[in-house]
Amino acid sequence: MDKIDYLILSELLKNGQISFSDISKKLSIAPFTVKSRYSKMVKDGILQKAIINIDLAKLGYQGKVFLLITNAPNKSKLETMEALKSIGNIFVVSEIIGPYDLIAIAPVTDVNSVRTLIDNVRKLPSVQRVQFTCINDTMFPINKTYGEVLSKRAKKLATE
Amino acid sequence: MAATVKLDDLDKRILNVLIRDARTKLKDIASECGTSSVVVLSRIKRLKEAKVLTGGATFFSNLAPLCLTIIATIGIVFDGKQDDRIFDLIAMETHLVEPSVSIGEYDLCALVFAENVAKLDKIAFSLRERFGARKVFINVWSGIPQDNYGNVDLQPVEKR
Repeated sequence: MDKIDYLILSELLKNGQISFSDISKKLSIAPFTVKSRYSKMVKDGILQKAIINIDLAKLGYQGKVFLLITNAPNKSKLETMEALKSIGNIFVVSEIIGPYDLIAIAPVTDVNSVRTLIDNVRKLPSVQRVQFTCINDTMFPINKTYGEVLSKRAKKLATE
Repeated sequence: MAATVKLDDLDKRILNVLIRDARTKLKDIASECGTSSVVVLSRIKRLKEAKVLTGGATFFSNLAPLCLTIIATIGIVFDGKQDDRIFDLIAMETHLVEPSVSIGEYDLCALVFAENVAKLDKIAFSLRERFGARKVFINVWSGIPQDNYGNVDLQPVEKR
């Protein structure tokens, strides 16, 4: 990754929908360069996926729940992750190191929807225990600070 | 709570394409949804006006080139009063994303990116020392997170 890659990455992290021509104008580099650098970053797995920003509050959600899951002993975590991904509304699942084994994130509409979700997760045979914590942020796929923070970081790396 | 925006089938199909890839070209969205570019554009415009779409997209990227090796969810539990300046402290040592007041297992919850474990450790220590946090939980994301962004119900209210 050179300076130009980092600058292009910074623009894309700030807004995943920015067009190649806008990047080219902003950075004063040829559109062809932007396109070829972009394709290379996609090919190398640096740029992974662009997801439209949605405010789920406008669709009836009140927040997001973080499910903190303890896996049952001798059961595979991968099995749990696969099963979690197919439970309605869970959109990210990850293994974690710490007091819990897995984290799953889903938007919730109200207290009942938290309960239904937890009940569904508890039913999984490879799950031993489910704790949760709720936040009132409703931005999907993630709060916009994600892009801002990483965009700044990429810009800083470009100048180093 | 704000009024919920009603979406019809076409709105949902358009949103699903943009959730899968926010950089899909207008004409490709139109052909996939079996309609014209003009219709797609007017639907997107309506969704922006209704603030369902908050502008732009989130580009998820590999964090290795940004020299951020750690993603963690930090959960903080207080004895009594909590201090909002706590997030400033977290932001100083790490890259803070999605800081939130939380209900459930934790009182405050934040997602952070850090260069290394030492930085996280320093935070956990200062949160206890300076802010009197009773407990600080750090759940470090490990392995490759799995996602299923298309799993979110875009009209959760109408089914009740």
